[in-house]
Amino acid sequence: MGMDKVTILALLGFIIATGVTMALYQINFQGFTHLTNYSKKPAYSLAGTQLFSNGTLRLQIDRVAGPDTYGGFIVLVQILYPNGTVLYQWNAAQLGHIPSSDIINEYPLPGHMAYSDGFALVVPLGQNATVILHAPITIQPGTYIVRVYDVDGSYEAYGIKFQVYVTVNQ
Amino acid sequence: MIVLLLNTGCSFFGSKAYQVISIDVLTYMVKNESLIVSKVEQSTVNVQKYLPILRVTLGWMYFSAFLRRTINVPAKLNPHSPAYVGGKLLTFIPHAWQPIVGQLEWLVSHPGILYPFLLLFTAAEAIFGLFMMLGFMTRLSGLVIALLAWGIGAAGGWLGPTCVDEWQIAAVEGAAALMFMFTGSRWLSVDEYLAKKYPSGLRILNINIPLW
Repeated sequence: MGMDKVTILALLGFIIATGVTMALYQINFQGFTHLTNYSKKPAYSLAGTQLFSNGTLRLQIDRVAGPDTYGGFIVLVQILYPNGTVLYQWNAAQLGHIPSSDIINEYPLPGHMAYSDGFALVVPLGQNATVILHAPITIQPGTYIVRVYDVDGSYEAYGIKFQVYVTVNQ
Repeated sequence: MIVLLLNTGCSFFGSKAYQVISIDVLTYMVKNESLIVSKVEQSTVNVQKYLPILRVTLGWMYFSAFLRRTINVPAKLNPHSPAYVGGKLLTFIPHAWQPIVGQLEWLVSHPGILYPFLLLFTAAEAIFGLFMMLGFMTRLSGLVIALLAWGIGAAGGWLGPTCVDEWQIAAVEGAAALMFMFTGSRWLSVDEYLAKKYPSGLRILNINIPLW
């Protein structure tokens, strides 16, 4: 049985369009496995963060989820011992007043820069910034956890924990 | 009654066989056949007439993007403004399709290339959005808009806090545009005149390209 040209073209178009629709649904939202909408809640990745014995924290902060038009707002940064005890922390008032010279944005796009707005450290979606913070303490060599909290009170979203293990060397 | 003798072309008992049909029957047959043919043609014409319902809205989605960036909010194309659309590409990066992530990162790291890219992209949306609305080179416009829609879907399709918005836009517009690539457009279209004048499409060298 031979199909005419129109039928073949129509089937081809049908398969391509339907295929792209389903592929976008699965890849963008895992719609056929575990439905996930990454635009709902802010999430941050801290990969690349460094902590030094003189108390300097080079917080590498990548905003990887949440609304594209707003936030996210970081209101607490903590250095913790591996057992969860807090060694030092910066609160919202401090994070809201970081000098702009201590916030280095990877992508120079106006309206999408990380900055202190007086109330929090603002990190727009997609931006990857290095934020330099100084703890007035000497930190003993060892392993620590650096963790940040979003203004919604969480340090985890979509299974992504907003924290990283860092090692302070001698 | 006039009797027609039709040669059926086959031999019958060694002699030519003739079928005897009255003119009335013949008239009925011809009429009936043309009725069927014209019914098929008419339904095709009818279906064509419903295409502008979607075609103009689809074209407007792209043409209006150009209007927003040039007339409503020109700051969208100002690299020094917070409204600059270049920032949108940055928001795509976290969950864009893997093969595109590297290109997006490269683009937003090179403002000198990002700007002409955005101008080119906006121009493409303006031109092919307008063409789609006018029904001018509808098949070509359909292909270009499908690629634009699906490209945006692969880059920023994961965005949308309310109703998985960007994916819906990309998927529906992409499928609609691809459909127009196959259907073309006739009624209420510039293509209707082009097709009358050049029924086999645009001829380059010896190849006919069906742009309409």
